[in-house]
Amino acid sequence: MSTATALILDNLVLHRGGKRLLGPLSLNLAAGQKGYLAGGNGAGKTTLMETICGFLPTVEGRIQTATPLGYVPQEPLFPLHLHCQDYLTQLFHLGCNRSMNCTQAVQEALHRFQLAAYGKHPIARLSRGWRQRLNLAQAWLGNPQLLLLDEPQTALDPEGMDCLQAAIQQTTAAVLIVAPEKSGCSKLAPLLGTLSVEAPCLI
Amino acid sequence: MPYLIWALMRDCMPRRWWFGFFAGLLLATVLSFDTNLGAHSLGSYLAYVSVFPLVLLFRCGWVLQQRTSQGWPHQEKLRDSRGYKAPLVEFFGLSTLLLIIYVCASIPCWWNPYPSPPASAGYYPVTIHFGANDYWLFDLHSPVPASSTLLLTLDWSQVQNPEQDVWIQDPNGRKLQAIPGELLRWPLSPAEAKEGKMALHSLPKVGVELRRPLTRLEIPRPGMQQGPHLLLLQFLFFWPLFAMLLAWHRRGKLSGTLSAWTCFALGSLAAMPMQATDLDSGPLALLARAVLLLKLALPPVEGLLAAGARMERLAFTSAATSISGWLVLGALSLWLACKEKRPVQP
Amino acid sequence: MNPPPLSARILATTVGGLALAGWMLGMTLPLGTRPWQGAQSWWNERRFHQAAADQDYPTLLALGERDLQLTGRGLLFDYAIYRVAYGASAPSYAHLPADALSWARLGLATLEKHLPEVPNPWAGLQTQAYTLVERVFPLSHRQQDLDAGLHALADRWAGSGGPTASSPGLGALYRSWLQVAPRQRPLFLLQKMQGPTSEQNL
Repeated sequence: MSTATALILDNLVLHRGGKRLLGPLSLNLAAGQKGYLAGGNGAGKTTLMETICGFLPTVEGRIQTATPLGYVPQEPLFPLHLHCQDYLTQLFHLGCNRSMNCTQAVQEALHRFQLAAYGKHPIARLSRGWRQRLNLAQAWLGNPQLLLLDEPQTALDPEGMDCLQAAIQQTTAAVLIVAPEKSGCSKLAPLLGTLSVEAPCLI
Repeated sequence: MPYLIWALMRDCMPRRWWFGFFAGLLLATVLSFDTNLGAHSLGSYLAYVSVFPLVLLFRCGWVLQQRTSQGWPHQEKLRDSRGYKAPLVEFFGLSTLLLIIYVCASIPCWWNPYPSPPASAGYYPVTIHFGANDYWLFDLHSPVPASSTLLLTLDWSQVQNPEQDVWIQDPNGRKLQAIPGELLRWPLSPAEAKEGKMALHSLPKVGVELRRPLTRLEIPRPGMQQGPHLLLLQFLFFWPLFAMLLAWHRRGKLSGTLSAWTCFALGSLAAMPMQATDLDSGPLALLARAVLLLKLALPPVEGLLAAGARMERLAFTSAATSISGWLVLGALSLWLACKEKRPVQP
Repeated sequence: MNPPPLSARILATTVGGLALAGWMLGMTLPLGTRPWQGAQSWWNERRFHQAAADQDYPTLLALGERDLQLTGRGLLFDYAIYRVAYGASAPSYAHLPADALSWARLGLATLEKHLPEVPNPWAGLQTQAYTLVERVFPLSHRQQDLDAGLHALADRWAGSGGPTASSPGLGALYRSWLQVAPRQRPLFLLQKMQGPTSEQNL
């Protein structure tokens, strides 16, 4: 894979529950490129993201990704008893990049989404919006080369959207967003195409 | 990695659980060693201590299940690209907790406000298969500790001249003089202790009769100074079970709690003393044979979990090869846990 | 998390099922049984002391048997047999002769049932011998009771009282007994039981 390419989807066919859902789908995302795929309910947005992340098996087609990956799931799961800082520190150590300073990386992630004041708060006490910010912060942790954002705007207030926009603009990583049309994500990244069950998708 | 190990240890043993653990240890010490309240027995203490790793096993199963519901598997897939860090963290975290439990449990063996239980021995009936013509074949039922002694009560009432010298001899020529009115103490040779079977006869054949219901195997009870050694063996029994738990959970994709129950069942089988059992035919016997077959597939390590009132019967009976086999089984489980199927990344 | 593969579920169910079946068959000793038995024996011992204080003999015997089953030590069992068979049938307890005989026989029957498995059968033989000779025979006047008592005593002497109560005196008594003509042996035993050199004085 060329170092200039962050993501290659080659004739990828998505399956869910043993049935063909979408595809064949082809996509090339260059390093540092930002893009947005629109799709309605049931179009296969989350299935696509989970397949790229490797959570779901690739049945047909080929996927190549740059690593490390940062992923913002649509429905984040958190260890609610942990503090935000503790949670991010554990995630940092899980993927431990020894060239980076852990405390600095965690503080940067918290500051990027204005979570610094909540660093010592248990996740259970955070509102839905603040949890979404934490969800974004964990994806940015450890300088990923490719960021996959599944409906990242969910539950964010305008201030949160500004943080997200700024973070996307500042990052050197490639960013792929999937979200419904008219969800406000068009201002985060340019539209690459629309996911549709009916027709093959070549972007 | 140390941070993740510390985090797992906190999850498995929260602060208030430590209070419970130390209170439990204190209670176990009182119930085992107090001269008035307790059983005054090291075996009883070892039995109570074996509860703690069991609780940890199920607690760990629950924590693994919680972690799954908290999205850790996805984070591991994304961040732990080689896939061995998370299982190793879990294994080392649990091993550290287990070690702490056993080090703390050893403290009452070194420093105990109660008087040590007096030196004593356990006495076990022995099956005598053949007892005619002054020749006896003893079945001691499975290996017994090498320090055991066979106690024979001989009836001389039919002997014409009780003052003549009579010897009791084994097929290898080892012999002891039998004296009327005294118990004959036959120390087992290492081979006899390992085999669990032995033969003796009287020389000359003068009509000395063995009082079969009074034949006993004397096994000295380990003293307090052997407590840490027995606790170490118990640690070695439980250690591989935690690796198996991880393997069932990660490789077998079972839920944490179900994995813990499976390990509990495997541990129970491994701890089951092998007994000669008369099996009849029928579905129950078939089931019993299947259980025994599964038991035979595991290394014979029941001696590692010598605990309870009759612990001297099992203590130090596990061979080094069996213990090594059991540990290899644990290492294999850990390797399987680390070898979780992962999608191929470029 | 993906659902477990069928093979893993089948394997886990088989292993768990077999272990459970084994436990149900009474062949396995599941982890946790020993601490549970330890706690049971501790509680059993408390109740035993209470039953001894209350002179509740049937309960005393039952708890002694239970302790033997749980711990295999037999100390409580030996004491229960002694209290019921020899103690409760003593004239000083002012029971009716029929009651005394009944307690003695109940204790001896329980002892005989467990004699092959008790850790210290020589202690049981002493209780058996003295109960049969001093309690049962004077009430039943049956020769076989006397013979059985004397036989038990000879067996006890043959083992010099057992490993925990080994006494050279008993061994010497046994050797003296062997020197006596077979017909005179019962009388010798009776004399030694009641005389100044009786076992209780050794």
